[in-house]
Amino acid sequence: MENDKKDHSVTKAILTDIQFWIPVVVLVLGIVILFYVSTGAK
Amino acid sequence: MAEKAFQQTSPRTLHVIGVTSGIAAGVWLGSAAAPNQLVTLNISPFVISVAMVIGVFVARWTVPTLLKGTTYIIADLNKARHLIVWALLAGALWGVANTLTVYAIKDVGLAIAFPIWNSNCVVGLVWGCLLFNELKGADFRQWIKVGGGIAAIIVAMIMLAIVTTKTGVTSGAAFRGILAALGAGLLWGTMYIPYRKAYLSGMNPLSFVTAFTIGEVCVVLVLGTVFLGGIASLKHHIMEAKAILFWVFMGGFFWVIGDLFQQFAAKYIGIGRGIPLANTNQLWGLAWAALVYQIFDHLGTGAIATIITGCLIMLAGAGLIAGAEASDEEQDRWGETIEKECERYGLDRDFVFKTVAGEDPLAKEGYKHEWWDGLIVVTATGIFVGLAFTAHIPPMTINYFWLSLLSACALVSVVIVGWLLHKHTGFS
Repeated sequence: MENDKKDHSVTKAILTDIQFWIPVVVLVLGIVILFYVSTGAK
Repeated sequence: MAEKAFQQTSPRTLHVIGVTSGIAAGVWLGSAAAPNQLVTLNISPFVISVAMVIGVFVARWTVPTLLKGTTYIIADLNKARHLIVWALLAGALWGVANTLTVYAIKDVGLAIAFPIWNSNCVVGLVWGCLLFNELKGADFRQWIKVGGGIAAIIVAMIMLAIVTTKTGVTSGAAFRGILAALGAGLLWGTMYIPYRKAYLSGMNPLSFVTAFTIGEVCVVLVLGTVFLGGIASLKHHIMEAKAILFWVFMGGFFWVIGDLFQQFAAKYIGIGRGIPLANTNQLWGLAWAALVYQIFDHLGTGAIATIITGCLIMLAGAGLIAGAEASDEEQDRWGETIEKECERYGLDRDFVFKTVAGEDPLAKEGYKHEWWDGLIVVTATGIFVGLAFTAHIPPMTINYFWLSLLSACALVSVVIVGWLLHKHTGFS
């Protein structure tokens, strides 16, 4: 029970952390660029 | 006021360790890019990237296992389990960025692509200031150094981009190549957010990279599978490239060593200062391209002069940024960031401040090497030795004198900086 509460609060801390979302957004952008570059290279 | 980040070892010593780690990172990361020249042999960039990352994955487990042992690494990861998410994320960023660099090299060449993706130091500096209080409380001179450094890097980037029009690259390929290199720079600059966060939370760089490599290999395998049309196709492509796998794996191994030094630089001097130093890898990449592979033979003297001038300006900019040593006030602000991380994620404050100051409190808990550590190292070494027997030297110009000399430089750097890290921090 105690551990569940702790895990839940850590998950909440991660999801409300801007330092998590910035890398996520940049990663998605990188995949888009990669798709464009690899398609154009064919 | 928040506790100062550095109290146990003198700030000066930690700064020297961070700077030398950054320089050693440059030597090894620059050497790691050399095998990517093999893309000229009409092998898919995805195959090169996947093979390199598998090499990284194999090599990645050996160094932390040798230095600390798996029980230490697992205990350290357990201390701040939330950071595993960031380690996987950083690995994913690296995997995508690395694939982009292979495309960039294919389209505009290593000498041009390298400095463009090294714009990651500007990206890292921005994140360092915005998210981790880097340069907060810095005096006017430090800001001038950093501002001048960024300006120099941007000027150099523009110079090197212009040269692409003089190297026979078509405009479409040049655009794609530059876009790929810029994308890699953005991803690699952002990848330092997880790095810095981990070290301000007290994690050992050796533990962080162990989790990092799982994210890295998963993303690259997924990308390779999707872009090459399935697992069977990916496997077929890799088997076709068997003759050069050893060299690409070696590139991955060099990268592992360089990245470890880069991690220690990010830990001890921050990302704003650490990345520019690691980016001296450009000089070493250029040395490999020009001296070992002799790829500039077809270029005119004007283009070569522009490339060299651009690289020198960029290095001067990196040097200016690296010379801006953190003041007491700035270190207080770093301490505030650490306090916030401890509060947000419920970390042991004393433990975190000790590790940031170069101590290794976890080592005092008596974690020892186990029998399976030896098995991991022997297996990884066996894979490299097995691949060496199937390796062929690619049909390209290689100057063995320069290859030996540059390899010797890399070995000297690993001995000196490894000794410094061992003596002052115990690889903490």
